[in-house]
Amino acid sequence: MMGEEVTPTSVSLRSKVGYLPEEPAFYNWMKGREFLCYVGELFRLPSRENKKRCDELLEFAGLNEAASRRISGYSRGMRQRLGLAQALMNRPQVLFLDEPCSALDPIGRREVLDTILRLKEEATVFMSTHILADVERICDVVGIIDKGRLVIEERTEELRDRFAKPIFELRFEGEAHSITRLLQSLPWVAKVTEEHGNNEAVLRIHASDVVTAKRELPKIVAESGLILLHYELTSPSLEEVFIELVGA
Amino acid sequence: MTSFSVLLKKELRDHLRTYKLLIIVAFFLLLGFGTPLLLHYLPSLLDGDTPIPIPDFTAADVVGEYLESITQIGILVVILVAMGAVARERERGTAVMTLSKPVGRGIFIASKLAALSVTFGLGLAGGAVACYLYASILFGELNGLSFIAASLLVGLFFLVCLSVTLLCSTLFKSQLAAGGLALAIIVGLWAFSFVPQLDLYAPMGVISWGQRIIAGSGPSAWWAVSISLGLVVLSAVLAWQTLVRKEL
Repeated sequence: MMGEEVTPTSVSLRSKVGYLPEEPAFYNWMKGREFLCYVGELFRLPSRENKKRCDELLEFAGLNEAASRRISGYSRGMRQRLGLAQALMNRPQVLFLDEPCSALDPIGRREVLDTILRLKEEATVFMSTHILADVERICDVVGIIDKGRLVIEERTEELRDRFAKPIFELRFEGEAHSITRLLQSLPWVAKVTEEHGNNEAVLRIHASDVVTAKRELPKIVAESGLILLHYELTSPSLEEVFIELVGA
Repeated sequence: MTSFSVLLKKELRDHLRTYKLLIIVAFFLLLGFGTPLLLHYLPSLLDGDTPIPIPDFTAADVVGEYLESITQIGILVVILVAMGAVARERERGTAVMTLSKPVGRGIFIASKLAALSVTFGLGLAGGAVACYLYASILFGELNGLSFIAASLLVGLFFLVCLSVTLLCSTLFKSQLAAGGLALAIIVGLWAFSFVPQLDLYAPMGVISWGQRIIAGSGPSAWWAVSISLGLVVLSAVLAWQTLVRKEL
């Protein structure tokens, strides 16, 4: 990493790295500010800079009011935010985040993700998570690990384009058996599912040839005489890629 | 500040804030003034009705009794306090938080040994001062230099126990396993002192030498001192190398 071998003795390398474990652990007798200052001292920040950085990170983590309280009294979300703050203490060039949003409420999660988005302008961020929506939102490159083996590593967009085929979602008034039967017979259609409810039929069409489907589907709908309520080409998600690669 | 001084400061604050320092000092103080007081008032407590003849104690007898008491009970206190030094940090995950920063694992071990030595050193010093004062007042004059020499030898024995317990604490994630192994090793070392002539070489021999210094006669045990110092260094180096090889 950064031209250095990563070993238990590579101490200097760690001054350029930030790390947040999945469940950050703290010395419960310490107070929030005290812990951040301790981390700053470990990074050998000069006293004044250390104090300034602690203030900045407490502000960032939303822990200003709790800074003088013992960590033992912090909620899980507060501990997670303090964990993220300590990982940023040295303005790392490489940042490892293990499930950074796992204990956060929706607002806290959004704030952390926005921070990671900002951080990736100045640092390489490695983030492990099971929340694929977060990955889609902020990650440039995705690696999928199954049973300890790296199954794939690719840019997010390319991965989605390669593995997840778009789905056409059509909603008709009444029944739509006729068009379903017709679509099933066409060579560029891989699969059609039909669901009913509220006097509506919802068709989900998986196309093997998306370009042909985009061109032909509107014509087929127009010729069917059915009343179209909704037409959408849904974007593929990483979840579908994950399921395809790892198996449901 | 160096990493060592940051970690040492943190460890000492830990001992202070979690009341370890208070408990240890109180324990040694209790034995320090309790032993002379008990031996002084023993005849009046037994009220002359006992068939067991009670000898007239000298100040040297009292100090000998004190050294024996702090050694026997002190070993258990050492093990109870030091068995979690590394094991608990690994078990709870705080070791990862510290060792993912630019801190060498050897420094981590050294700071723990230094902090434990300071805390037990303060306790021993407190107990020694209390014992010296009470023994001098209640039983007559004591040779101050002999008493200091004997106290230093006791301190060395405690240092051996601390370093062995710290090594065991590095070997296991479980505090109980670490404590059990430490107790077995220390009792094993103690057993050597019961073998004739070996007490001049075994770490426990430093205590016997201390008692001989107080009594004013008997051979010196420089070999026991050298071997004890060697054991301290060996245990610390083994603890460091073990931690380097351990996954946190």
